[in-house]
Amino acid sequence: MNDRAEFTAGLMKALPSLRAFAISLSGRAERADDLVQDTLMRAWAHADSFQPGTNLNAWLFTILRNLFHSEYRKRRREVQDEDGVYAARLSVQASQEAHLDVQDFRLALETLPPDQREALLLVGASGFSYEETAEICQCAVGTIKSRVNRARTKLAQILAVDGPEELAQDARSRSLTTR
Amino acid sequence: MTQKQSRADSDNLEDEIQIDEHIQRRIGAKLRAYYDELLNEPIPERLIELLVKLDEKERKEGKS
Repeated sequence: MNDRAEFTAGLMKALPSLRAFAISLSGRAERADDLVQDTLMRAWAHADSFQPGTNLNAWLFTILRNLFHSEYRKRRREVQDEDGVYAARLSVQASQEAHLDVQDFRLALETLPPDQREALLLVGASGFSYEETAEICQCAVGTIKSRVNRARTKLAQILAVDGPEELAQDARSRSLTTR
Repeated sequence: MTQKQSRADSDNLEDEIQIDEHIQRRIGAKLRAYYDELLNEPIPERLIELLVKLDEKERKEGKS
């Protein structure tokens, strides 16, 4: 009973970060809330398989990610088509505007392949270590490091984030020619 | 193998190479700014209600 109360409190506390992760993965707030709701229900139904004292957030993120991917597989083609449109629009934007705000970052994030996006979100935003992220994504630590690196490189190209102007110019033309 | 060729080879292994620290910091800052905005959004009532209901149900079943 006490464990269960603690478990509920843990779920409540995890809500904002679960939701932020869900929105980042799915790109749409409504679908993200459904994803969080399904995650909560599944977590509740399988509460017995959670070991108290271990990382509740990592456990919850694993559930959410698995739910997302089982749904994502069905929509793969549709999503990839959207990505193409975003990418085309973005490279034009990047060459026209020097300053790109949060909204632009969101669009850039959506152009990343899902495996790279989730790795970057887990490591760079959700505060998980490479090891925890590898467990959540059920793959090797080296794979996660590689995905995060690719994600950063691609974002830097799309957003034309570079030091000197010369390099920024180079990144822009590269992001245009690689499409 | 010429120098140009080996340069092209390393470009293909782009993801294996650590990207510039300055760029990494700026991408990191943008990512956190984006994510903080999401974290600060209000949580939809239905999600909180769901947890409250599940918790109540558990309490009742636990007592009986």
